[in-house]
Amino acid sequence: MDLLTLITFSPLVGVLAILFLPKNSKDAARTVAAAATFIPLVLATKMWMDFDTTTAAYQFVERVPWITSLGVDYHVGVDGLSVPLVWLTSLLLFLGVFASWKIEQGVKGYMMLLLLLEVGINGVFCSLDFFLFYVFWEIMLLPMYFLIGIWGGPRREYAAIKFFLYTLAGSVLMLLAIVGLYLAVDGRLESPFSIPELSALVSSGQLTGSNLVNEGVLFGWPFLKWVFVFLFIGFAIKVPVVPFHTWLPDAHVEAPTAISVILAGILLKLGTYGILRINLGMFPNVAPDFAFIGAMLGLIAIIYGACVAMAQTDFKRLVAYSSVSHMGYVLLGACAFTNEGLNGAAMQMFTHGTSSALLFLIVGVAYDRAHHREIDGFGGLAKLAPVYLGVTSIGMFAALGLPGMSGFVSEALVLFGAWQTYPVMASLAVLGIVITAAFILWTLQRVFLGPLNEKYDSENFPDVTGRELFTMIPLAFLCVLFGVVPGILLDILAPTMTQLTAALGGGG
Amino acid sequence: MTPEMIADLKAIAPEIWLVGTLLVTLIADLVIGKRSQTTVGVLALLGVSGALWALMGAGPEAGPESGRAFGVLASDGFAGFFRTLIISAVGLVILHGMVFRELESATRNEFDPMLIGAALGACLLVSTDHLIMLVLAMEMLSLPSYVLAGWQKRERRSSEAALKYLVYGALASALMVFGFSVLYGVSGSVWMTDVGRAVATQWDTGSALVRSAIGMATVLVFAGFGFKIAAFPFHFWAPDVYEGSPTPVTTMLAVASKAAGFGVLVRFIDAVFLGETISADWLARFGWVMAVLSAVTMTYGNVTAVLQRNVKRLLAYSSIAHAGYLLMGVAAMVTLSGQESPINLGVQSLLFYMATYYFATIGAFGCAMALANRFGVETTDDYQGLGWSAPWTSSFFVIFLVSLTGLPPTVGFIGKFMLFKASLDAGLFWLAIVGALNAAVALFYYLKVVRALFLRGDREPVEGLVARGFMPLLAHASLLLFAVAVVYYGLMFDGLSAWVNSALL
Repeated sequence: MDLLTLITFSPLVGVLAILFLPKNSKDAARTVAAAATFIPLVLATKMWMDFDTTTAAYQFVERVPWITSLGVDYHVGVDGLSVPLVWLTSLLLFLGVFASWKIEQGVKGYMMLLLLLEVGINGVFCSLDFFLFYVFWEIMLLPMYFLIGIWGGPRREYAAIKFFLYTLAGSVLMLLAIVGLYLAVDGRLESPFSIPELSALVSSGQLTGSNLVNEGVLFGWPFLKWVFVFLFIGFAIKVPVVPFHTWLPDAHVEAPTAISVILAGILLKLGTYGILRINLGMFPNVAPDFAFIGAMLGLIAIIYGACVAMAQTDFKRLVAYSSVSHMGYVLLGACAFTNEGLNGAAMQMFTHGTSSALLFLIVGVAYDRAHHREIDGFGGLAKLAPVYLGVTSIGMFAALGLPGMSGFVSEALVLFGAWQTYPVMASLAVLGIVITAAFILWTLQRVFLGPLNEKYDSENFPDVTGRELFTMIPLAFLCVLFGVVPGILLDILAPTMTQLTAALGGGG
Repeated sequence: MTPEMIADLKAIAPEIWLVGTLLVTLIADLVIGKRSQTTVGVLALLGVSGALWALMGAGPEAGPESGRAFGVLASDGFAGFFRTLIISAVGLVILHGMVFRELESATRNEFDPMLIGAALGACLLVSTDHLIMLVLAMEMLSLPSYVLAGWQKRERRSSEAALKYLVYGALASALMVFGFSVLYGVSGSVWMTDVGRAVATQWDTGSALVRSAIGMATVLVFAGFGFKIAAFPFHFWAPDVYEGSPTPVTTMLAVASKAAGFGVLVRFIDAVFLGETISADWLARFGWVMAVLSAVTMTYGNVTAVLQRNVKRLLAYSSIAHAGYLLMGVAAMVTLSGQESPINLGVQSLLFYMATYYFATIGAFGCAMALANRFGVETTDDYQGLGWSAPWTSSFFVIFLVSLTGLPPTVGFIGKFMLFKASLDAGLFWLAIVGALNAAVALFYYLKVVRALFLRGDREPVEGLVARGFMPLLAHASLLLFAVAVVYYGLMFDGLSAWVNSALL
């Protein structure tokens, strides 16, 4: 077993261990979960260290035949796009265990589901076989449904089923696209699901689907266009891109803190990862037809998400909508097809992963103490919780893209990239930054500044505890680190993104 | 005895085992039935295991040289596939019926011979390509099923179920036999292959009258098969019967009876309509009709299942939906039959889906029975919070429902994958999209059960009736085994594929 297999499947050992723990052993379950998420974190760190940043080729590749009757391989490998995301997943799941320490009901089940979720997420990022990719993609759904549905807030049932149905509706379309591709390959590849080989075949223009439909045209559209659109819808629901976004605020608001962290930090990135890896990487000859629409959807998400976030009174909902807005940058940057745009998009995925995860932890801290999330129900907390204010400021400034923070670098790159292709859209996107700054500063002001809300004193609103700090400090550190030395991240992204830019025929 | 006769007898050894078990259990009931509740059941289980063993022992090479026993029973891999599903399903139904008692104890013992009789009919039905034998086998399956549906005779809804089933069943049989007689009139033969040859030539060259006779006969025959597989618009009996019957019987009807129906349907279509000489025009029309039936059946089953609260009834409607999915395989099989290809993807996907449906449905009904037996629950409202009292059974239930939905890493996903593959390959793009979107609808109502088990209720463990002893252990072990199999075959299905490929027509 090699590195990626160990990273992906080591949490399963934790699942088994927890399964055989006695019934009420809560602390043991927590400890086992912490250990089982720590192993992938260590291994992923080692992977990042050992990763060769001079090449765009897949590294740490493992390939063994899995299902011979369909030509499916167990084929995993990582490149510059997936390495940071695997590492971020491992980090957030590890922190997630500590953020869930206070969960008292059904701890064993909770921790097992959390570990299963990690297997699914890391599996998706590592898969280089489309079939394997899909299996991991779907494995995530059920744990997530239970984590929101059992341990969530008052409207958890609704939120959980909405999340599940939206995602499933997208993923069945994706399944059809995968099956269609498989049939279109028609025996020309030994491993018809291999993502690199499929990409090569599709980009070379040899795969048209003409063996399936007459001259490769189906209902007036080329076969590949349909495949592209079906895949895009599947990924767009996960991002979520604006017309498909309504599951997100509900899921976020009802989910327990740690699950919101994972949802915002990682699960949303799966959608954009799919768009970059599959939609753009596999279909560089189809993608230009949809670039304008994609960029437009990104812009709409930026402006709309920011405006709706501004109108929220619920702290968590506000952060959720700000995620919609921030994920719009990823789409806008990706669809610009320029080197800066793609680098910015990939970096934004990571930086938003850290800053939004931090913001959800911050909301969790306030909720644990006050048992509500009304922004106007706080006020003057700076006096009671100065450390809390400090951490919150870092998270919020990173989210609004203050220079020196990680969000600034990625958003600036996206805007540079988009400017070269869509100057009008890039200028309008700046408006999104302004609105974001407005609602974030306004929120900071309403929660922390002004006179202290009489309801709170040092008894019922103590400053952050050591455990809470332990979950927040690493993320805050990353927000600053990648703002000051973005090169660490960009170096690893660059070869892969350069290759993708060249494939898409973009400049820069 | 001549060697041919011995070979013939060997080919039907499983059926001989079933007949023997039938007689032994009947006599055992007379002699010791009053004193022992379990003896008859154990005997029946042993007999069914024997039949299964005989079936496993007989590879395709062990059959008679002509490929058919006594001239009318094909001993091919196709028949072997369906007989394995049917016999093992009935064995599990007997086991679950014994442990998760729902039947009146006084009449418990006659239950097993009835089930075995139905299994015998089902086995003959999937083996034969002789129309008269087919009718006999169909009745042999149906008559015990009518009795079984009304087993709890003091319960109003059980009697109603039996009566409804009988009336619809009799009508369907009559229509089917009438259809056969028309086909006999057209072809002068009761062999499917001869009928097929005659139909092919008459469709191309015959008069308008003959052509319409063939069309009418097709519709009539499909009424008979459609009734057995509970496909729209011949499904009206299914929800009431599934709900009213004791759950073991429901399982039998949903799995064994449906498998037999699909087995004979596929064999009939393959022999009669997909001969080499049939015209492309006929194939296109026929494939289109099957595709429409498939889409309507699955959509109807899924949409009405959404409204159900009674878990048995919910699973009944879902099994109508699954009949629709299986028909997707039939549609692909018909459409693809014109192409030159070593294997017909349609048949392959249908058989694969049948196997996945078998695992998940028996498992789901088994879990429903286990919960009903332990807590006396029947509707999703009663199920609330039981996941915290019976975590294992409930987790298995979730696995089976996920498989029925068709999500990885369960075998149900592979079943759906195969079906989508076949229908896309057949150019039935719209059907594949309908099937895919139906999976999302299905998820919604399967999750109703999951939601009740785990998301609702006060999450405090409730005391239930816990049966101890060897048989309950065996029954629970069978659920565990099926849950493991559902996940295992979802990840490693090469073995299952090989088995399916050996069973293609």
